Amino acid sequence: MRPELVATGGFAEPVNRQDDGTEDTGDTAAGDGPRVTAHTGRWRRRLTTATILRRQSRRAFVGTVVFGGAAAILAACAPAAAPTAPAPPPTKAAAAASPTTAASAPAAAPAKTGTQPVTLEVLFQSGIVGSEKLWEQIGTEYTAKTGHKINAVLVPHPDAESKVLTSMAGRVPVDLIYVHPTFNATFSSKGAVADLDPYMKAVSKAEAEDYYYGATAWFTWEGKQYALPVISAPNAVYYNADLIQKAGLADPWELYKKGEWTTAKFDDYLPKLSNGEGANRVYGVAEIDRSIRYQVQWLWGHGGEVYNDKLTETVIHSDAAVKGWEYLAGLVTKRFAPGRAESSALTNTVGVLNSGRVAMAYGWRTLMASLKPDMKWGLAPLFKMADGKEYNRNGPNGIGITSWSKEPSQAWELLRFLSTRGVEIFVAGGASIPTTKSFGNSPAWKGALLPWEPAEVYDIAYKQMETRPTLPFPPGANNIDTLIQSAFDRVVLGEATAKQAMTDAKPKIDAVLKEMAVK
Amino acid sequence: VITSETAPRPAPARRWAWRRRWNEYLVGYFFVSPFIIGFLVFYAGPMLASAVLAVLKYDLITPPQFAGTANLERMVGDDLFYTALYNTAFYTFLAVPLQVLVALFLAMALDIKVRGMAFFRTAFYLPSVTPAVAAVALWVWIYNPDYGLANAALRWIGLPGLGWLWDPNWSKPSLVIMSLWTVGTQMVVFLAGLQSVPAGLLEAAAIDGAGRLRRFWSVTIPILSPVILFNLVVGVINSFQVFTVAFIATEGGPRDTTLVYVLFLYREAFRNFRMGYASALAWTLFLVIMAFTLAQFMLARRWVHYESDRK
Repeated sequence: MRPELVATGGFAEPVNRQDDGTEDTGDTAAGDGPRVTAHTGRWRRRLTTATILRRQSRRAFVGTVVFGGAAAILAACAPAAAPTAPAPPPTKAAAAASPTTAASAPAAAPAKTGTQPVTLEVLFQSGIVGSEKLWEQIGTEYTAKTGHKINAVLVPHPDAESKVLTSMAGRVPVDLIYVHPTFNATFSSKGAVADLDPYMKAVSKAEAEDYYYGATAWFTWEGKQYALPVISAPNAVYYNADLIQKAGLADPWELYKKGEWTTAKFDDYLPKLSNGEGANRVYGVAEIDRSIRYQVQWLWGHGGEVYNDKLTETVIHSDAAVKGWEYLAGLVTKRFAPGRAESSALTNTVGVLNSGRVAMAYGWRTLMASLKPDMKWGLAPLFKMADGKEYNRNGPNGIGITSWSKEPSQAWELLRFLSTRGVEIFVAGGASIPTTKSFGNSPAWKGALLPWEPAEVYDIAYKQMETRPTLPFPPGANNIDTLIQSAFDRVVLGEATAKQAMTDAKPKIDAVLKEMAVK
Repeated sequence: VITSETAPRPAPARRWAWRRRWNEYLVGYFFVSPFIIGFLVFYAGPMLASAVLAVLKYDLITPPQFAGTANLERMVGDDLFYTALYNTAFYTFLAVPLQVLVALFLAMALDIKVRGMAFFRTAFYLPSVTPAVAAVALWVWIYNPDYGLANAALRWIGLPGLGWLWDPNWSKPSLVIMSLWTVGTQMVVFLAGLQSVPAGLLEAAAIDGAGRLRRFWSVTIPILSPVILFNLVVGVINSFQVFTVAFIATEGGPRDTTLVYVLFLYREAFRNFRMGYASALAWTLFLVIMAFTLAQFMLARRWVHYESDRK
């Protein structure tokens, strides 16, 4: 569904075009400027009498302009109102009206909810291939089911956080907002989204436990749930099966099944897959995305962490974490992965894979809808890390209820629909994997997979996420990430050792943690 | 005391004239009201709001708190502030003179009366109206260290390739070179200036024995000096506000070497949600630009020649 822009006006046209005939006839008084012709006089008369301001005195007019200007300035300067208290939890009746099964199909006729039909405003990210059509389908089904309408406003992911916050500051009427793990803590700690725990209590235990841990855990903060996933995107190794085959290497998925898909094997593959120069250079693996939310797997795999337990300081400079940084930097410096220049030219993970010049990439299903269908692809889970364990991360796209929603109960009803039937629609569109076990075991999910996509790989991804707690994203996480990436640049450029670069970055990161700490 | 009752009533003719003039004022104000309203709402209002925000701590969510000079103190102690200021100054002081020189050179070349000149003028102006995002995407390819056009050219003349945008030593000069691609607007202004140089003066100088270089230096440049000043002032203002190129091409990297001031400001406002700090940064930039502009006008008295100066 396209974002709807409500026309709020424009330049108002003069509405009073009456001429009372008492004005200037076009003749000029002697000595009063250049004489005008009768024609221009009539024209001028029409202009002057067209305005409703004609009868105002100069003082009144200037006063109006000054007052209007001052009002505009005051409006621009007005501070945002404090967030309201979180929306009240639903009644049992409202909860009962929500979908109860993951595979709930749309009803043929609108359900009797006991309320007038409302339009619920949803702000979500636009980066999903075919977003508008998917949201249109969701809207159609939801209206058929409940009688309520959805107005989905889609904004680019990088702008989503600021759009939501400015919407909140301006009290733009939005009921449900896009929540990403990286700003879940910011939203929840500042009261932008409602605590969902009271709502979840109205849901049966079986339904609540149906969600995969790796899909919902990323939306918790200080033990409370603030959003439900509608798109789940854990990592897996997507590979160009032709390049693997041409290099005479075994299929990674087959290796995984034998328990042989390890860091050592991966390291063995890289030089065998990387060859050529210039525009013909083929790389073993795509550059690991420059964000701590992806890089963290290598820190964990070497025994490192990003923060201490209390989130009061970073530990990215620890000896264990430094090994992870060195490994990641080595992928680029050894030219097994394209550097920034090449990655920028190839635009993103999909771009590098589609170029046919990268053998493997840490991807996620959301991007894979854009892979060239005429190329031969393969899919395997992430390999065992240096410490012998398997890890994974997720970047689920969640939705939360705004603390200022005027229809919290209806918003919750829609959220449940989105996190069940909505997920099915996103999965069918190639944007997600299931977020619930019941859907994960359903024929609908199996039928949505591409021929080269083993469903087991995604099951393994969820299991890998249970190895350890999820990476916390404290308020200010984006700021911290920028500081980390700047330090990582120094390592890749060979300007500093990983130990030195991360040690230098630590005080700045700690200062952000201190500044943003929830009081 | 003169009251409305005791005041002499204006004669009908004078009152008539006054009413007409007043009506003209109203019509005038009516026609400029879109600008006045737009200026108040979209410029004066936000400027005043940002001046207020500069002394507040505001993260868009929680109510603003008075912060006094905390934002200024933060600025003084913020390494990235100095980095951004240095990067922007480096860019400005390298880009602006080069832009003026290149634009002047192109304008002179395009002032020659030859067939098909309109095509060349259009061709050289075209990059100025090319969408910035498309232009940057093109330059990312040109600068590719492995197979970009820039390194191919260097290798063709026997020089080693460079890392360009991804080399901390070359990232800023790379942005400067990119900026030269869009000097079309300055070029057009110079072209208009060149065409206003009186042919009689040039002929007189030639008769007096002045060569081409002397005529250019002693006749053309003085007459063009107000145009040069205009391009310098506008160039400095624009360069201090450079954003799009760094935002799209490098995101401030590598290692913050292309973190220009407005990108830094944007990050603080819309990534880190320090609205108060970002507002303080905005006002600091405003003061810096104003200082440079005033300095340029003061120095201009020494070298800019106006026709009206002639006694």
